[in-house]
Amino acid sequence: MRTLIELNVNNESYPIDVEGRTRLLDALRDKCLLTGAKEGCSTGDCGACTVHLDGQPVTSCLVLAASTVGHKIVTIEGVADGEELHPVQKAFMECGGLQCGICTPGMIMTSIAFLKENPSPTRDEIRDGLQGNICRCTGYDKIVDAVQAAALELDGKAGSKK
Amino acid sequence: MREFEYHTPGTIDEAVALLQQYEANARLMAGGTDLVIMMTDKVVSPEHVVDIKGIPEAAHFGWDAESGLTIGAAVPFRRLETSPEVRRFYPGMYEAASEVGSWQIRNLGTAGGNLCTASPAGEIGPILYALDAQVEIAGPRGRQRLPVQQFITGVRRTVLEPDEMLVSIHVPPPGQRTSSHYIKLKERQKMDIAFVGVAASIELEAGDGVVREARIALGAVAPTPIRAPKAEATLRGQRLTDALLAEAGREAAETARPIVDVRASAEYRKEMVDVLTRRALRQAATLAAR
Amino acid sequence: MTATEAVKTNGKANGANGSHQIGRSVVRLDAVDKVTGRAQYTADLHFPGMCYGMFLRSPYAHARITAIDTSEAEALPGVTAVITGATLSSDQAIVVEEEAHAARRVQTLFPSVGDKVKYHGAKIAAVAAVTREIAEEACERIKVEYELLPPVVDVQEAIKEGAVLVNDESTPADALEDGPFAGHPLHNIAGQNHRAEGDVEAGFAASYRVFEDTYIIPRAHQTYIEPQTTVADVSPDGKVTVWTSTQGHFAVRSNLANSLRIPLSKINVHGMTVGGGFGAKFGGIVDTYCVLLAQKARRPVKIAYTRHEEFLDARPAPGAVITVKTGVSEDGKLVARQAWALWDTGAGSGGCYATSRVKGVYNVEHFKMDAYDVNTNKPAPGAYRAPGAPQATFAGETQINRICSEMGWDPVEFRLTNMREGEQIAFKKTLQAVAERANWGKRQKGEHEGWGVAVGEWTNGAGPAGAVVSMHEDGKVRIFYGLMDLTGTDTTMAQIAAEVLGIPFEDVTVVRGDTDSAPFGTSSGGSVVTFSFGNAVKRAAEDARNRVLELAADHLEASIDDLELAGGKVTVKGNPEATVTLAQLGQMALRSRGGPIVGRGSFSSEPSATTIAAQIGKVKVDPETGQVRLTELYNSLDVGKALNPQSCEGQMEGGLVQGFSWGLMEQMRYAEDGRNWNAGLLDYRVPTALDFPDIETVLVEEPTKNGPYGVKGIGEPPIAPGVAALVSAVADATGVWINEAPMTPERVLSATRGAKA
Repeated sequence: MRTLIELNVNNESYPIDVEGRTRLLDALRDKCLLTGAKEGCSTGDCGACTVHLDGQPVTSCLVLAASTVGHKIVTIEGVADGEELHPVQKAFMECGGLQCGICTPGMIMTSIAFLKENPSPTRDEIRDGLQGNICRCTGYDKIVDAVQAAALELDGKAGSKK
Repeated sequence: MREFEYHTPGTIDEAVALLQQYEANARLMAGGTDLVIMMTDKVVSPEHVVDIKGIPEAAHFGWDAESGLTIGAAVPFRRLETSPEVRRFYPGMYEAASEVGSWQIRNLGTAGGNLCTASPAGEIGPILYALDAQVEIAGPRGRQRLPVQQFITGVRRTVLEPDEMLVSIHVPPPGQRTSSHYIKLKERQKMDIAFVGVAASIELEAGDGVVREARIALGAVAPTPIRAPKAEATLRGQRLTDALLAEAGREAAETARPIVDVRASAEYRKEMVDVLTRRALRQAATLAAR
Repeated sequence: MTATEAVKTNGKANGANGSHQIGRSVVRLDAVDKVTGRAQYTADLHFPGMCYGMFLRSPYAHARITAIDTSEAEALPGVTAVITGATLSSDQAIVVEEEAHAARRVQTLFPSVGDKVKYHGAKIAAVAAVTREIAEEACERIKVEYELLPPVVDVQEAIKEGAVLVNDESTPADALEDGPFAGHPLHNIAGQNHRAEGDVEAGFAASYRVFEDTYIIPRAHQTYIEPQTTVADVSPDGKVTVWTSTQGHFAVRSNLANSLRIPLSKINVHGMTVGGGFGAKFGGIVDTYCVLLAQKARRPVKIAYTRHEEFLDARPAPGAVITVKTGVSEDGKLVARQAWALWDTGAGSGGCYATSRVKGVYNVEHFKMDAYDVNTNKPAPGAYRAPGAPQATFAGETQINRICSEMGWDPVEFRLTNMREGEQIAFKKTLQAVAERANWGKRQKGEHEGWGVAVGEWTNGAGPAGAVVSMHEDGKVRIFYGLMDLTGTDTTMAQIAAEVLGIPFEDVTVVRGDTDSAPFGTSSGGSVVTFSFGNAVKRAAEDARNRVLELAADHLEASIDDLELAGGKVTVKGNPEATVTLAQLGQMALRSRGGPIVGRGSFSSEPSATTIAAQIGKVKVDPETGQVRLTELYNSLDVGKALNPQSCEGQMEGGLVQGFSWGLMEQMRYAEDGRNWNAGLLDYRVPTALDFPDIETVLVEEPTKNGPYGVKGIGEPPIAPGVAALVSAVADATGVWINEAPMTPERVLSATRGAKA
């Protein structure tokens, strides 16, 4: 049964029609045409579809779109401040924290949420924070570099290497 | 996934009324992390999905020294993981909650849902058994409280009738010199499923390190979580020595009735019950003695 | 070797390296699009009227189809196409040529009634519909009847007399005279490869000690995070347009032409941003069907594999059972090596030739191998980063470590003693570099800890590539070609053009053309890209440079020999006043007789030189549970020349993790009935960030003659040594050699238990 709902995505209102079964990931990609969140597994195991729901990272493949009405959703398209990229985005670029790029939006969404909770993490804490995001290209080392560099930029404090 | 009607009741009574109306055609949803996958795979295809996240009573999470911990059925694991009270009074529950899926999953998935899914490998079952928790159930015939051990009846089966629902989980306040631990055996550090899970809760006598009470619960080694009564009896009234731990571990392993699957053989699982029981008891006792 | 130091310690991309544009860790050209979600992957495409394609798959591993009825599916409103074996013309099949790996595979598109399904998940029919849900329902409405057949799952069973045959028409291979499967004809053989150098019998007879071990490694899935996806559209005049996730859009074009009997000129392929390939994305398993559905539906059709389908019916790396016999002299020299190998190639073939890598990078006078592709009831295999090398290297290098352990020799010293030397190769230097970084000579280990070392070789291929480099009226440069960028190679190409033209890298724009517009480009596989396209781009940039200098010579009234091109301008040597900027020249060119500045470069093929990746890992094993934890990792590779050091490190670290994780946790499992047992990311485990420690990476630079600036292809070698190094580290920690990967807790525990008993 199709119903009209209004999603708040990146501080904008998206009136879209969905079915009960429409997942948030599909609503974002097919209805809002925000394709930054990627579908890698549909089971919550890869993290490529990670978005923020009320500030917390969630796998949007496991969320029903209708259940997010009245909540704030932020996707990778909404993290830059106009033309100014988010420090985490910049750090991923500069540190070589991306290769094929398919995990990158989810990886960045998790990293942003993680650094809000832990502004000056150790490398091990970063690895723990990224436990739900699989990257198959980088071997993770440069992603950890990127999150560490972003932490320094955001917080001005040093996370210790090793 | 087949289409369904999506309902958002505002109270437990409304939710129960919906269940009563649609019975077997309805499924309750909390975090959705199990249900959405099951619906995608068409393991279940309900015509009505009743989302309880908007029900204040289901979303309630609280602790007080009198009644202990109340976990509404729609409270996500992340809430348990980040609660100072859980970490302080129920360290085993903290461990179990933080072992579920990933951070993203724990923001969605709930202890109540994990319990109702009743997967043998579920993380929350064993620790709730070890903490002697109770569950509150609502239905057309009113409310009732049950010990958690009576709630899960088989692989993916619970005591709930189609028109009943889990409202909340209640964990009694811990006594003095009491603590708990949970260990999950897996291949990856995180983001894995339990090959074996062991929860232990231990209460020590004052001063001398003698065990007053111990509860051991095992996951992924039987159709439901199970207690290890023989091992518990062995510990009661005894000082916790390596030899005693070894005996308790052996007895717990004997209690296990594991299956063979893609993850592990029955023999390995049994042996790991032994190892993990010893480790969980030792850690729980260390925490209890502090 | 020093190139990396600066990069590694400050972590970030660096700025100018003097005036040079190569050797700089510049930020990737596609980085902004990838960190903002703007990069367009195939699944991101939406077209008006687009339908969704889906497959009906066999629930059985081995069965004969006795009936297919699609009528109820066709009757479902919203269904726009249903195809089965019965709807195809008899000359249509999947033809995939992996030019980089010299492999050509031909597979039927669908089994028809009377044919067999040969693996769980094999496609029976495909459906297109206006929504995914309708397509799914249509698949459920197709009725198929099967006559079940017993499956054959294990290669060691498959070769036996009386084994179930996967391909009914296969004939047995001749019996071998020696080795573990000598004495009877071999069944289910899909291919074979035999080599002999010297006289192994004499070699073993002359050896001081001879060792023989059998190594078993399972199938692994490449597990790119973007599942295989294609969109296809067919115009009323039959022109086929394809948007797809591939490593080679020209290869997809020719494969589609050969498969579906369509002229090349009637197919245009757009290569989209690729979300990981690792050898698996050369087309065939999705694009062919997508075109067939679009032809029938007369609407654009998108097929996006699910993760589940990836495990059921993609082209994973083959498993292998490899027996290795090695003779050594008393003074620690390799004398003879022999290998017998069975490669689990499922319903297909290809892989066994890689057994030759068992020999390794060593002087071995006597070598012999007998290797077979063996059919089982599993999907056909495909390429996975250095195809076959991790499996063969696991056998060859693990055994070297075992021999060293038994003989009391240091495994690094032993390798250094036996390694081949030669022009353009730096095996010893590379191994020494990683040993130094790991402080190998003074390595420490605590209780239940262990170290493992291994090396893996690769020689990059080369393929035809064309490029156009043009300089516009702003003095800036555009590269146009048909390169599929998997690893950041567009960026490296821009660095090459910038270097040649004396401009900053930032002044270069790179444009990938579709197959109708771009000059031919070889596929991005076999580590060919930087070597092949690098030469083409370098030549094109040099061509443009010549034209720039001609124009400048004219304008400055000087001889070309007296001109200097640097910093975005051309200057007469010794006369800084006599100068003209590239922007001025770009404008002048428009009005000149010769017209705009366009440089062309082409490359076909030239030999490269062999490189090795050398890796060292340290593990800690839980003696009670068997769990293995990686605690330290070191990594070196001879890259020839690091055009972009950060990018080189990225390849090395990513490849290393794939290799080690194959040794640690990755395995495709099949139940006794042949059904895939772990078709999802929960039970097919790939590592998370928590499963690996930091990696110390060292670049070695030993230039090759034919690569631009000396580069060697580096994408593949880093995956080769990992399984061997990891397994050897576990042996060092436990004292037990476990010859079957991966090192799951249960396997490690039961092996150590068995050894104690």
